[in-house]
Amino acid sequence: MIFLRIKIWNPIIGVSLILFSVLAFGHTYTFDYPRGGGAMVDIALFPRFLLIVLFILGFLLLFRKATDPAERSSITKEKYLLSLYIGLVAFTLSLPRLGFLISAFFWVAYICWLVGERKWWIILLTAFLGTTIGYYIFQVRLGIPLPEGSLVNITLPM
Amino acid sequence: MWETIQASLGIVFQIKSILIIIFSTFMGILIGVIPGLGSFVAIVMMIPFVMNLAPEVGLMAIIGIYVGGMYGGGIASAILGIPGTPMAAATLLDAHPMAERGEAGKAIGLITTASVCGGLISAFILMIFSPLLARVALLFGPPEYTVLCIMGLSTVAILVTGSTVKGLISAFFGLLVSTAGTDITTSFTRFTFGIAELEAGIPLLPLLLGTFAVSRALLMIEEGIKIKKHPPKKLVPKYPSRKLVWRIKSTYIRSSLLGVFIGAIPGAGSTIAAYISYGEAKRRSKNPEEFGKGASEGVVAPEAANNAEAGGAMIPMLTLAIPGDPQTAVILGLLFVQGLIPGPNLYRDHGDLLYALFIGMVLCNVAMFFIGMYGTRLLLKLLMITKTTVLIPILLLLVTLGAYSITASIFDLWIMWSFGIVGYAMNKFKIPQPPIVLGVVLGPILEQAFRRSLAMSAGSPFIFFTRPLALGLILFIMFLLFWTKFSRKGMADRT
Repeated sequence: MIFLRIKIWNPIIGVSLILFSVLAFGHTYTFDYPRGGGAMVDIALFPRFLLIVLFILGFLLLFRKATDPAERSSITKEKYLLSLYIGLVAFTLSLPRLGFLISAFFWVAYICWLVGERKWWIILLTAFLGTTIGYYIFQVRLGIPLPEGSLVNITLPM
Repeated sequence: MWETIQASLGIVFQIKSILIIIFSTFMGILIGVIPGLGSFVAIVMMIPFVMNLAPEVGLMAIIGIYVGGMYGGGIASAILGIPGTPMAAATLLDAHPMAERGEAGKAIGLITTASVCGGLISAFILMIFSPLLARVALLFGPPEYTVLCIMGLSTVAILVTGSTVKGLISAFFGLLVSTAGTDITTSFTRFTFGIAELEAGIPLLPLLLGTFAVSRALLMIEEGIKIKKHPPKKLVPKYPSRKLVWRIKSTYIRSSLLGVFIGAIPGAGSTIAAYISYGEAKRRSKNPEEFGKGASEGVVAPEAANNAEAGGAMIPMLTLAIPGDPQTAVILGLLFVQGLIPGPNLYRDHGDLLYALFIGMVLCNVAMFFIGMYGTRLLLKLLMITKTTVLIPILLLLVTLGAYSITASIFDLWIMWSFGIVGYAMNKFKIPQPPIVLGVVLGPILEQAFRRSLAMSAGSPFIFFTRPLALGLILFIMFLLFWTKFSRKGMADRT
């Protein structure tokens, strides 16, 4: 994770923006629409204009010095953030299979533990209350159907 | 018109509406007080709940959160020494020193009265002038809308703190994101990469939740919420004395009017309003040397302005569909989703809803006054007892449910997590976030107006300079841009 400690980001963002603009500009030629129909039909006109501006801005950023000390910040707790995102992905993948109640319960408990809570009763209470209150508000009161699991399906009697 | 107002009063003065106004204002203040969140995140997080209410009630709820969130930031500035919102950073300059010398109650009283004054003045101006301005909007054609949109984006990008280049990157990136999906004129698709869910475009709410709320949670994990002190044991908000109010009455009124005026400039925002108002108050004060050390005017000026800005920002939003600030950009998105298109037709067809909104704004400010004067200590206690280790998981659960609730689609969660990384990266690289919101919301309006303008002029870009109204707008907004940039620089030099 050493690259996340790089402190001068402007040239990196500038180069990334230039590359992105060029690739996206090229992609606009794959849009499927009748050519030669004028401004109202040319769906690529506006995106291309924006990408040209972004290209220029990326170029300007390449040479911009980081005058604000805050621009030299680095990412410090990358392990936590990566672990959080692995948890987010796992949670989202598990939703259609295990349903909201089970997925959310374990996910909230995991996040609690990840951010430093070590008292098990607080972790379990937060996970239980968060999940059931969320279920009550959204599923019961607002009538929004939350995911039901294809493998396991638990509902609350409300 | 009187029938419309009567119908509006009937909507507002129902038990359910009153309770929602009080609850939403309270929630706005509570979330606004939490450092790192603020009124914008509060609005974004509450949208999923609001969308399930009737439009008139939902809009009043959003206004309550908006108004309350602005106020909450001021409280955090005074008591905790941490601005809960960017616009409250100007309030901190004098409110915190005042609290530190044992006058926390006075600071809360000044913040509360200033916020209510600004909010009420802007609500009345909005109520009286916006129907008139809606008729002026009939004169606006595609070139004028194009100019307004570009200038709104430029204003927010150039006037945000930090790098102008990065502000413009944020704005144009937001515009680019808005082009993904099916073009509404031709029904051809762009940037969908074969993904069926993207044909409807990148959904706005998951994008906002990810960019703002998820990224905030990530920053909280990384940096922690550093609340250094507990509220003073004897925190009793005090009403400012009649003598003091009379002495600084011009600060209350001038700052409120300034807030409304700046709020009406597309893209300017409450942070600009707060700083300019502070600078003006200091310039006109008989004792400018007291500013920065706990001057009463230094507390009143930014708070009155940033709350007044809310009403001002709604003027262009309701009359022209051009948001005055990022918060009203979100509200505009909500109006579109509910099928309410701003402009003169909105006043004609949904006048009762709009007047209910205006009256609701007045009531939100009244609710804010009572919650502020009698509930501040409870709010701060709630904040103190809530552990970060509980707040972050609950915040993430809430935004997850919010993002899922709109279309019951898992795809929206993927969008939210993706933009969470984008938002986090923007924070780390100091790329301002407000412009991206305006870009995403204004993108469709700008593109349609731009293409129609070119179609009208057979491809010539000079149409924006040959139409008197469009040219007049360009010159007016450039003047305002230079004036506000100059005023900010001057204020920075003086402070």
